[in-house]
Amino acid sequence: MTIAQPARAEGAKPAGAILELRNVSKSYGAVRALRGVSFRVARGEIHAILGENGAGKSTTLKIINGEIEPDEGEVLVGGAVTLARDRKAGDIAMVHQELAVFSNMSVAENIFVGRMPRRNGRIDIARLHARAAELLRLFGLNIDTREILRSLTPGQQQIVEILRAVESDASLLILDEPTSGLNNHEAETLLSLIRRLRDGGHTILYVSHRLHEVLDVADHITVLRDGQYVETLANDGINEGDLIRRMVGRDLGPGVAANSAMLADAPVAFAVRGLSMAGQFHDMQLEVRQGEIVGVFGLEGSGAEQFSQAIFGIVPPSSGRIELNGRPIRDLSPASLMHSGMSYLNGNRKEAGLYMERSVAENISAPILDRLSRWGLVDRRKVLERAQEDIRRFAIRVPGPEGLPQQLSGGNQQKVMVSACLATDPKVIVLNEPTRGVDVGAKAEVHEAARAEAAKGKALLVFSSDLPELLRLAHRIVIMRSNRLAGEIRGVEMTEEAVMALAAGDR
Amino acid sequence: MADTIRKISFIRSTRLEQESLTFGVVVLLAVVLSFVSPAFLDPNNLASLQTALAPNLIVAIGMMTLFMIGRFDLSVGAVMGISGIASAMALNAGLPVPVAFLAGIATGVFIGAFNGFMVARLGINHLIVTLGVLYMTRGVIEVAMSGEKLAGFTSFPPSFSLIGQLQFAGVSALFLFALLLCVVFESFLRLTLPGRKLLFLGGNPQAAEATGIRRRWTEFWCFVLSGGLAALAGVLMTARVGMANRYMGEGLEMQIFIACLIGGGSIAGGKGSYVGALAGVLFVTLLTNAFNLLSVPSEWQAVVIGAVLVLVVVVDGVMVLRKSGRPWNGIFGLFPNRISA
Repeated sequence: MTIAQPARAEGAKPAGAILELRNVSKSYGAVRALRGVSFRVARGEIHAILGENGAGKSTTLKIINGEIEPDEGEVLVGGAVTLARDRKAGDIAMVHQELAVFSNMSVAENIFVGRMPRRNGRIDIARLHARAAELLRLFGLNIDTREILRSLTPGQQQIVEILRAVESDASLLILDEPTSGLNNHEAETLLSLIRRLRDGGHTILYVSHRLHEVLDVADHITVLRDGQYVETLANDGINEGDLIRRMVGRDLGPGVAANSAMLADAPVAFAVRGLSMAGQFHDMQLEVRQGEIVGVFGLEGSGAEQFSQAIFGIVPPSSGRIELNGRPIRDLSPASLMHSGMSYLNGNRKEAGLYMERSVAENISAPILDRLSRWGLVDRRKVLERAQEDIRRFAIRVPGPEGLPQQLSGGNQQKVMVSACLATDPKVIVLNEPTRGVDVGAKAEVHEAARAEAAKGKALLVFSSDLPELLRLAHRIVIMRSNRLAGEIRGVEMTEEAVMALAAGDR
Repeated sequence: MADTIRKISFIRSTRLEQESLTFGVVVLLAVVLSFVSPAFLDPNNLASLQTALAPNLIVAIGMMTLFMIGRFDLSVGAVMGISGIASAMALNAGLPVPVAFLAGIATGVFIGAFNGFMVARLGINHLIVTLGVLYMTRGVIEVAMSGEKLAGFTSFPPSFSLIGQLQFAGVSALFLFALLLCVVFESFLRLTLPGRKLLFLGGNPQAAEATGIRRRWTEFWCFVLSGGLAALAGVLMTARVGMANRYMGEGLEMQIFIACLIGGGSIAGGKGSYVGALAGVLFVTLLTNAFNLLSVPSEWQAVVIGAVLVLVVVVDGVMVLRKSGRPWNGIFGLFPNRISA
């Protein structure tokens, strides 16, 4: 295995670095997203950026694409120091992970958008389609350029979007997770397109979770971890294990999971049997026993997010079933699942978490208003008492139960959500991103609350993109990859390497 | 490799599926009517059809433009009314015909600019803004017409009335003008970049802005266009019928709205065409005409037009969902959570 320092990577190409980051740092409030990142991208290569969730990849891309300015450090394009707005206006084109296509327009119009060939003020429709057809042929696509984009497969749409970036004459193309959501065949086509672009003189910055793809296509691979630069490797005789070792290795801190052997005899409280949703996840099987904390981990695009919403009926699955205490649930809706003893912590605090205009007390008591009412009227005294209790129990720092959630920090808002989630005394608790964007102290308190529930015999299912969190909290972790279950790891075998090998690996 | 490309049909590539369907229904309706009611082909009836079609089509062109970018304008009927009144008042004050004509148009342009400013600049929901403006404008009309007879202004100089009476080869000039306008706008939509930008913007506003299309600017001018065209229709209508009163354009916004939906527009944006506006207006106007000819009480017209609208939306929804392979029980959003075990 050869480890090429950026300087040596440059040596291979006499044209020099098209892009260089020098000591780039960026913070969002107290969170340091990037710390002193430096690396170089040589002209005419495919350069991959690799890292776990939260490693700083998207911040790096945003800085390169000129969407944000770094707090410190410099970004050099073609050897010259640039400002964000220069890069935004310059010849860097980025294809974002989410499709930004015009599904109502033709293939040709999608490729050329604002730069359609014109003659005498009119669009030269014949030339528009001729040029689009030529471009499609070049990349081996058999599509009528007049076809409406909506009727193309996601893979074809993704390729059309990339061709738009190609057509804009950008010399540096940034592709963020271009293969997420594509099947193997489509991903293959896309990778060969990327190689052809490189051979045609384009420089490509490629971000993907799929290690085998990166190893397949990249010339150099830069690994980030926790917002810091780790290493730039030449893709020469290295394997997935080499990459995973560099991606992981964060400090886990205290509180590694308890042994789950004693739970093997506990009754199954929650079971997922063959749950599927077209294009999102297939044939999911899962059991959670009383007193058990099961983690679900998947990288972006693995289908874990959709799965987390489907098991609470927020987005209906297309087939399969869910059982609570061995009883299948017929009507898979949030209301009926809650009635059956399940509770769900929504992962998106801002959009679906709290009633921002209502007091903390009302937020906590919202799921159990019937219990706090007499003859159909809400007993305000009980509501306030209940809120006081939870404020003490979860150490929520709030002026009083009548305060509004807006006045609270993110961590305290999260604790309000957790206490509302636990208010119904549920038997099965699903926590979706329970500590996203909260400080270390609040995180520990949320974890403590989760462990306390498990100790009471509740079944917990935790979805988190924060792998160390799952390693600390869960008795076992099930891993999703490419919209399927990839495997399960329990007890002492739970390490970042083992989980990442399943989540990002080849098979 | 490239020789296996599956070519798509003209109608599909021009996205005129819904429009063709509506045109087909219109032709069918016309044929049936000419058999069922001999009065349908009577020159008087055909003339009144043209008179009814012309202003509706002009207003629908503006509404369809807004539909394309995912907006709409509920104030068009009231704008039509107030513009006609503005012209009539200018004529009454002794101003020359061209000035009075422009005064009417300017009123509509001003209201359109107000709508556009509120929606595009201040970011207020277009339903709320244009609904508010509809009420405000109707109120202003009441104020302006207080003390006037119910028939409103009825005496105009002959040169003004002539605008409405002009004919070419036995066809109303107003109708021909509206058709010409429709053709011009259709060409603009198909052949020019600004025309395509309307559909880009409606299809994916964020992506459109990212490719340098000016969203707020376009929205503003589309509202100005809608107001201006509604005013034009109002002034022309005033010239044609020879009176301007508080009833002109009442309820028109809903008719035009429905015509645009039936003609292939979508309130979600990114879809629609001006020939579709023509097809929709033809359909609504013919249907109204049919009720009159068959002397069905006018109350039933509203019921049937509303039912047709619901039918169109349902059929459209079924087609879309069947194409995407969704199961039947999810098509109308019923029991989306129920799954077969």
